[in-house]
Parts: sequence; structure tokens; C-alpha cells
Amino acid sequence: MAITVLTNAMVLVGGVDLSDHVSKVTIEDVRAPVDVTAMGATNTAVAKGLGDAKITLDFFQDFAPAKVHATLQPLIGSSTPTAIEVRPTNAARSATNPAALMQGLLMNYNMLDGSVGAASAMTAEFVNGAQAGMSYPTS
Amino acid sequence: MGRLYRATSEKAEAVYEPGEFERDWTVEQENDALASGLVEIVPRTYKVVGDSRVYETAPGDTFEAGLRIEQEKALVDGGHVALVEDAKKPKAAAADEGVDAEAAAPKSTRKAKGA
Repeated sequence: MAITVLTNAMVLVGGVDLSDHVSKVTIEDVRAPVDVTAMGATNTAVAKGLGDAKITLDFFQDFAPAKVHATLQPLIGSSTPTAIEVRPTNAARSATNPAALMQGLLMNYNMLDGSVGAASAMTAEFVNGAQAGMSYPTS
Repeated sequence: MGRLYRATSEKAEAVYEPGEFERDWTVEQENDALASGLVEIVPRTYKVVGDSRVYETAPGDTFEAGLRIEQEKALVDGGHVALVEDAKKPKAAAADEGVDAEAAAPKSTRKAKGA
């Protein structure tokens, strides 16, 4: 697949399609570096430790029913992970349109975050809330 | 009113009961039960009442999903979906009301992916 310009990424929060209010997506799937350097080594040795994942979404805020605030506000008070899915385009999952899927806990919700004259935008940060971590289903 | 669950194995049926059963669990009790792997949620039918797509279902259409208590509450309180009543009532409850639960189930529902 060719290099693409991101114009139509799909963002599902708890199954709700909020793509038309998202301006930026950041998907992080990381492994903690664990130092395993032993005596006699001449360089630091590192092994991969526990995994972690995070999805950060920049939204244009919308307080209308069934929009951004109505979807995210219940999640900040919830301790049950919710499915967060991002796809490169809004087409069905496929090998060339893989999803990034994570059961996430909303840890940061800034209901309002803006300056006078600017669009009302905010950032929501979901951290991994399940042992499955980040997966990349293609179907 | 409780929600419907289903044991996932013979071992689970010994812990709970065979077939579908109704429980009025709290969020924590439900999470613990699901985490044990012994039970699963019997899918319910929801109608998308907001103007955003939910579980790849267009506004006005219905879908079937086994949503946890909190997931369902978030979607209902957020104005996204409404529960389609009587679609998955316990047979005993349906019989009490003279309703055929199977006949009351919506015809054109789809399974939700990732629910």
C-alpha cells in the first residue's frame, strides 16, 4: 500500500463513531526496557519488559446529545474499560486497513481547553485497561 | 429488573445454573463474573437513537450486543442507543406477561463487532 495522507481515520469510542469530531489520533504500543546488563558486559544490555498501550485523541468539543461530551463524560467516572478502535480510513477492517483496538480507561478528560477565538478543542487520553493490550485486527 | 447471563461451560453451569439466568448484579459483581470466564452476557437488542453510528450501525437501525452494565449505561445516558424492550426477556417473565419472547425479537438486527 502506498504512503497515505491521513484524512479520514475512523475513531470508535465504546462503539460510537466520533470520527467527525477528531482532529488527531496518536496510538502508542510500547514495551518497558529492562536492564539486563551483567558483569563483563561492555555495553548495556536491554530486554523487553511489560507492554503498555495508550491512545490519545484530540477532539473538537460538542455538547449536543450523543456527541463528544455525552460519550466521554460517563467514561471518566467509570472503572470499566471500554473499547477504543482506530482505523486508518473509515472502510471495513482489512489487511490494508488494520484497526488498532484496545480496551481503554479514560484517564484525562479536559472538558474545555481553549483560548478566546479558538475552536473548542480538547484531548482525551485512554490507557490500556486489559491484559490483551493493543491488538491489530484485520477482520 | 435483572439482566440475562449464560454459563459458558458445564463447570460454570454447576456454579450458576444451566441455560440463561437472570441476575441483578452490580457493576463490580458483573465485572468479576465476566472476568472469571464462567459467564457471558446474553446479547440484547439496541436501537441507535442518536445521530452517530454505534457499533457500525446507522442511526435508526438496531444491533445486537452483549454490553456490560456500564457500557450500556454510558450509551443510553449519552443519548446514543435505546434498549429494544422485550427482545430478550427471560422466558418465565415473558410467559407471565403473555408475550412470546421469540416473536417479539426484532427481525433485522445485526451482531455488533467488538462488543
